[in-house]
Formats: sequence, structure tokens, C-alpha cells
Amino acid sequence: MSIVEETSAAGEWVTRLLADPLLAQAAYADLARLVSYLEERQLLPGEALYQAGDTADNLYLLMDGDLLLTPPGESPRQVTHRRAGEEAATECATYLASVTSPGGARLLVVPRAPLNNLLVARPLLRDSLWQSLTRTLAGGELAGEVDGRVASDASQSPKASPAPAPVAVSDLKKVIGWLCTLVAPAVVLIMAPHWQLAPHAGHFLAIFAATVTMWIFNLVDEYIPGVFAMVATLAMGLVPIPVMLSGLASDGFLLAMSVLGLATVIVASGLSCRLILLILLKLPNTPFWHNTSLLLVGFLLTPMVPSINGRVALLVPFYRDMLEILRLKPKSLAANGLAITTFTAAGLLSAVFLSSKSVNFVVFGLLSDQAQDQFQWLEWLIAAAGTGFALVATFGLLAAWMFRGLPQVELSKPKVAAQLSLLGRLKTREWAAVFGVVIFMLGVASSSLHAIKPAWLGLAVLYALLLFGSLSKKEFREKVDWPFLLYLAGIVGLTAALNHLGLTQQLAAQLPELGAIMQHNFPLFIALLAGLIFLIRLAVPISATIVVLVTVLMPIADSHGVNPWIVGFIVLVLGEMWFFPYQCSYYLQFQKLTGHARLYEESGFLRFNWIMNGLKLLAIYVSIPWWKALGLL
Amino acid sequence: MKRIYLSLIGLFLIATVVVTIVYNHNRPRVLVLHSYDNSYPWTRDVSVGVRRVLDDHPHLAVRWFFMDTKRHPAKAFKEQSGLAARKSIDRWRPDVLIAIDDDAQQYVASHYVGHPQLKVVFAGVNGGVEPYGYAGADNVSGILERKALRALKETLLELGTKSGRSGPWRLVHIGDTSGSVDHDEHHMEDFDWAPLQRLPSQRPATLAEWQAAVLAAQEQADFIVTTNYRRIARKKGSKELVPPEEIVAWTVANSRIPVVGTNGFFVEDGGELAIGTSPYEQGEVAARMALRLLDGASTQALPHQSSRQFVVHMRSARLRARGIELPPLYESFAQATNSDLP
Repeated sequence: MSIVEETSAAGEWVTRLLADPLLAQAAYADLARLVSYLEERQLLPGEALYQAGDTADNLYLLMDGDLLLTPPGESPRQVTHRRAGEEAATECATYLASVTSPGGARLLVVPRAPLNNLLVARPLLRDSLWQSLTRTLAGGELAGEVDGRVASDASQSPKASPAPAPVAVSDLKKVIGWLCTLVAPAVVLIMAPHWQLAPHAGHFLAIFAATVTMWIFNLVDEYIPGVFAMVATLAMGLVPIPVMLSGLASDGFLLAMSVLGLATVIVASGLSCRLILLILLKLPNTPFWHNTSLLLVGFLLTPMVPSINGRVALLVPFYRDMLEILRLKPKSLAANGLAITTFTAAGLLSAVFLSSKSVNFVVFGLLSDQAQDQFQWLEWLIAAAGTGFALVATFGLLAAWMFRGLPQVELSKPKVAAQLSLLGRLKTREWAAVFGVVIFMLGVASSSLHAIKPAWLGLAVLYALLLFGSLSKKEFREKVDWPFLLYLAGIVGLTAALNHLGLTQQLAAQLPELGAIMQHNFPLFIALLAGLIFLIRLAVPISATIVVLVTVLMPIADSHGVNPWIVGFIVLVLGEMWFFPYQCSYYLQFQKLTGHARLYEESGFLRFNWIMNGLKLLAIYVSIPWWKALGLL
Repeated sequence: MKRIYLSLIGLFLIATVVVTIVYNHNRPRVLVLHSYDNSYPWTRDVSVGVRRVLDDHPHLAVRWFFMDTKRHPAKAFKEQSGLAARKSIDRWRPDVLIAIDDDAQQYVASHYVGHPQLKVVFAGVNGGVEPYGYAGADNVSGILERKALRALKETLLELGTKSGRSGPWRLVHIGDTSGSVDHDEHHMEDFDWAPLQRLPSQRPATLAEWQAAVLAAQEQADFIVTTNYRRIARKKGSKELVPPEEIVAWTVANSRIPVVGTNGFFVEDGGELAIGTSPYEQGEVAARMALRLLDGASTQALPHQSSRQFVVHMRSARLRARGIELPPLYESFAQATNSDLP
């Protein structure tokens, strides 16, 4: 197909989508994302589109020709609204009727998975599609009602299917976890007098032990142990209320809340989608630039979307789109390269920007007031820049070596242009997001002039977004990650309580060798820390590993005259290391969104990731001169 | 109508932002720079003094910076911490810098002598101000920290009289090798101790040397006066510092003669009696000077001051148990200031 033809085809798809009375109700940004997955199908005269009982994989929009729908035991009739296969938008796993084209037809195919992604946020639209399906079938018995297939199909859907083996393993893990949660505090309470701890300090340490155990075994949602710690500590009056609840009033909490609010507007307004499309459209059309554009898009999203999972979800449609448009063979070298680039783009720089990952705010919250002044958003970036450059450079070199000699293929710019045209001009909410980002960035850069802390700037931007209605009350309630904010407040409060009770100093005194190594042989400390993280990460999730290690190590660093930010930052970078898929939640998500690694060679992907783990460690070592030059080490 | 409505909201928002920025921009800024960390009792109590004054002036923007050089006395750390503090000052641009104790002067405040915008108020300076270039500087004033030697002498004389032993009573000063103790020693040398006799000071660097000095004093002196002991190494050549509580516990347990500290923290560390310079006075006077400077007073109108007040810290029950007696006035003073510990 020539470029002119592609332009015309993509434009026609957009027109067809908007012509559908139901789908046109969706947000343009969501429809633009959907366009990535669309394709055309041609039916010859008399050819069947699907039979009743076939797996309902797609929704079909008729572009040309005609379709006849035949419910079981009934006579054929014309499809209504030039649409077929609404079952794909419902819980029906199979089609309830047969569809054929007597005179041939041209169809726009909307796959089930991306369609359901769109419908998740729009339950009313899903209801409408249900009603449409019901109306289409009205006058005859539904296939599922005749032979009971609907009920059985629903029960066979992946969502409902039981998975006995993993559940058993998970249950066992939970049982062990809860046992440890009971035993650990009991041990602490028994040992506290031997450790010369005052009764209130011993009780607090027992609560801390139970909290950490719950995190390590992933027994409940991660914010719940923090709430437990707050409630238990305050109920026993172990530390003053302002100390335990200090997290709720901390700069880290306010900054995180503001950034999460701003990120919600950036994503929900479609600004992030527009940025991605613009970059894809403007960069040159070669394999190198295809990869670079994905990488740039990921890097651009990194400071704006404070969740690696969120960025993976945003980037994967473009990866799939590229594979399809470039006609890349699944599991080919080029497809592997793009998969690695997409995944790397989402996570490589997650420690480099303060706002790129929720747990970064935990490290920020654990810094002293003066250190928080020292590592505000911009200063954090400057301090982390050495590692950032090293990571990008080593990734670039490794990728260039592993994916050398890729064949020349071209991305369909017309399709991207059509997606962009669907978004139209910048909407008011997008302008609000742009202003929010610009004001926040300018405010942070000029904070020495106006003396307003970034946390307050963020809060002012959030206030403005709420005031203008750019961020609705519903979105503020539902899209801002309140459980994470509670989690953050809990961790900051826990650390403040540890300090208040003098437990961090006692802990530092108990680990004099570690402190001495940190102080006198920092490269050795990094190597030991990497080994420790590797071992812990075999069993413990990323966030829990990072939180537990920074809670212990940052106060030790402080008491031994080592910059605690550097220790926290290293834990953030190395804590992301993973070797096996189960260790990394956002890789599992990536797997799922890419069809369980059907599109790329997973062994090659994992091999690349293992080498990147080593390169992350190298990047940390390379950053030491940078930190020394900045006077941080 | 919607446009008018949005414009009004926008106007309200802009007005709020402008007022906030203007207010913050014009808010006088004070940076309180401590040489040590806030867990050091002296630093904590100077901060209490500063807060007593500044808390009554909420229009001030106050930030705190702790260089933490007591726990990390290596020169490289002090330079690094000084650099971080200077960066913080250059970034935030305070109107007044209150610099407390000598390291804050040496590594930070002395870099701003003659600065056109920044005024410096020093406190806790044990020696002279000449090494920092403050003499004659037109943007510097402050309060010197001088040991309460007159009050200390009176106390030692009381202890001698109550002990029943005949004079002349001899005292020996034992202190670590830090710069601040150097200054203290000079003042002690210059002070008229008569009718007491002052023996040569002992300046141990290691725990073994400290223990030897304390044991030797049992035969040679009637009192031990100690200034500071936070830079005592565990062993010769070791960088590990002995925790102050450990040193004081050993000293009190192994000394038959009274040991008197010149800082209140000696009692917090486990000692039984201290006649110390008032950290509250240092903080309060420095903060008041900062307020005067913010009100437009010139540094010429604020001559350098010296500490005048002292504080009594004691463990009266333990002193009595050891048969050491002091007039009830001391105990009352300590109790009134919550400084009589169990």
C-alpha cells in the first residue's frame, strides 16, 4: 500500500469510528489509542464472517458491502447500525449468532482486548453495546439460552477460570507470612529487655517488625501495614501524635499528591497520547529512529507519569502498533529490539526523576529538612544525572551491539497522522496540563527567587486544576493513588518514630562494620548492597525491598557522615534489578499486554535484562566521580 | 458567561499566586547554621534559645542547617558539609545567617565576610573572631562563648570547703584534642584561679590516655574539670570515636575526686555536676541580634558580646550519695531549670 493509500485508509477508519453512534461517545484520546489496533478485513461474496459459537475475538464495523445475521434456528436478517460482533464488548466468550456477507464486504476489525481497555473506563458504553446486541438478536432465542452456552462460556473465560496450582502456592506463602507476622513481634518483645530497649521502644519495634513482615510477604495491599503501624503506635501512645502522623504533613506527601493529580490530568486529557504521536510523526523513518522515538517517548513520560506500570500501559500500544505497521515478524530480531526498547523506555530512568516513581517520594520523605531542600526536583535530577547518562549510554551501546544490522522497514506515518488528526486541536484540559507542567517546572527552577518550596508549588498547581475543573472531583477521588499516599505517610511516620525513640541510632551502633564500610570504602559498600538486594529480591517485591532497605540504611548513612540521598538513590536503582519474570510486576504486565511474550523472543529479552542489571551497577560506580564533583560524596 | 466565569477564576488564581510570591519574596529570611547535629545537647539547647525569640515572629522564613561535624570531625567531611551549607545559602539567599560554633564560622560564615546582602551573626565562638576575618567586618556581629569560669571557681571553692579537706585545692583540666577545647584551655590559662591551684591540662586523644589522665588526677588533684570528650578515639590510629556516655560512665565510676563539667551536657552524658555556659543565652542573644539587623540596625550598633549567664546541671541525689555537698541554692537552681537529673 502506498503512503497516499495508507493516509486515506487510516482517515477512513477514523471516519468510520466516529460514524458509529456508540463508539463515537468515547473520548477522542481513547479512540486514538484504539486506532493502533485496528485492521481491515475483506469478505468475498457468500463468505462467513463468523459462526455462532466461535470465539468472540473482534467487533466488526461495516465499511462497504452488506452483512446478514442469522441467530440459531432463525431466518437471516440485516445487521443493525452496520456493526457486528458486539459480543466482543460483553462477557460472552463466543458469538451468539452467525454472520455472512452475501455480496462481499469490507470491515474494520476492532480486537477484543483494546476494546475492553476502552470500555473499562466507560461502563455505560459497554451497556449500550449489550443493548445493541440484545436488540439485534431480539425476536429469537439467544444461542446461549438454547443450549446454555453463555453460562458455560462465561465460566470458561480467562477471568473466571480457576488456577489451582498458583493459588495453592500463594496460600502457603500467605500462611507462612502470617505466621511470621505473629512470631516476629513476639520475638522482638521477648528480646527487647536483652537489647536494653525501654518498654515503649520495644513495643514500637515489635509493631515495626510486624509491619515489615507484612510488606515482605506481600500479605495485604502495601498501604495497609502502614495504617496498622499508625493505629497500633498511636493507640498505645508510644510516640507523640505529631511524630507518628508527620508523614501526612511532610513535603514528600504533599509533593506526591500534587504530582499524582497533575499526572492524572496529563493522561486523562490525552496530552500524553498526543506527545507520543507527535514524536513518532516527527522523527526520521529508520529502525534506529523507531527505537529512539519509543525511547524518547518513554523518557518524556518518565517524569510526568509517576508509575512504571502506567508508562508500560501507555507505551505498549505503540509498540504493538509499530510491529503491525512495520510488518515485523513476531520474535524477529527487530521485534525483540523494539520490545526491549519499549520496556526500557518505561523504566530505565525511574530513579533519575523525583516524580517518576512513587517510591522515590519515600526516599525523599526520609531525608532531613535540610537535605530535602538540597534535593528538590531539579537538584535531584542534577545529582542523578551522572547515573542517568551512564544508564542511557550503556543501554545504547548494548542495544546497538545486540541489534546491529536490522532490516530497513518504515513506520506508517499516515496512520500516526490519522491518529493525531482524531485528537484534533489541543483541548482545554490538555492546555491545563501543559500549563500545570510548565508552571511547576518554572516554579521549581526559580524557587530561590520566590522561596516557595516545590511541594507548595505542586499543591498550587493541583489547586488550580481543581479550581478550573480540569481535574474533576471524581477523578481526584478515583485516579489519585490515595492508598499509595497513605503508604507514604505511614513510612515517613514510622521512620520519624524510629528516630524519635533513638532506635535508628541504636541500630547504627549495632552495625558499626556496615557504617564503617559505608564511610571508608564506599565502592565495597555498593558491591555488598548489590549482593544483598539481589538476595532479598529473590523473595521480596520491589517496593518492599526498597522501603525496608532505605529505612534501615539511610539513617546509618546519616550517622556515619555519608550522604543519605546517595544511599537511597542507589537502593532505588539497584532495587529495580530482576532476573526472573515473577520478580517484576511491570514486566508481568508487559508480558500480558504483549500477548504473553508471543511477539518477542523472551529468552533474548531476559538475557538483555540480565546484562542491563550489571550495567546498572556499573552506572552507579561511574557516578561516583560525579557525586564527588558535586560535593555529595 | 462561561468565559467571564473562567476569567474571574483565573484572575482570582493569578491574584493568589502573585500575593503569595510577593509575600514570600519580601519575607525576611534567616538561616540558622549549626556546626553540629541536633542530637548534641548543646546544639539542641542553643536551638531552644533561638526558637524562644524567633517563634514570636512568624513573618520570618527560617531554615535550619546542621553541619554535623561533631560526629564526623574529619577535615574532608567538614569541608564537604561546609560546601553543602554554602550552596544552600547561595540558593536560598537569606538576609541573616546565624552561625553557631566554630566550624560554622570557619567553613561557611567566613566566606561571607563583607557580603553586600548577607548579615552574619555568630554564636558559640570559643576563641577570638580574628581567624574568621570578623574583626572590623561591617556585616558581622554576634556573641562569644566563654566558659563560666568565675561561677565554676566559686563552686569548686564550695566543694572544697564542704569536703573538710584543707587547701589549697588543686584542679586539673582534662579535655579532648578538639579546636574548641584548645580555645577553652587558653581561657582557663588566662583566668585567675586563686586561691585554687590549676595543674597543667591533660589532653588525651585515646580512651587509654583518658583513663590514665583520670587515674593520675586521683593522686595529684582535688577536682577534675572537664570541657569536652567527644573526640576520644577508641584506640590509637582508630577513627572510631568512643561514645560520650561510655567515657563519662567510666570516669565517674573510677574517680574518687569530684568531676565537674563546663557544659550542661556533661550531666546528660552521665556526670554529676556541671557549671556550664548557657546555650539558651547564646541562641537568644544571636536571634535578637538577627532581628535587630533585619529591622535595619547596622552591625556597628551591635557590638560583639560575651556570654554572661551560666547554668547548673546536677544529679543531686547521686552527689549526696557520694558525700559531695553543695549549698541548697545549687539544687534549687537546677530543679527550677529542669536540670536536676535522677
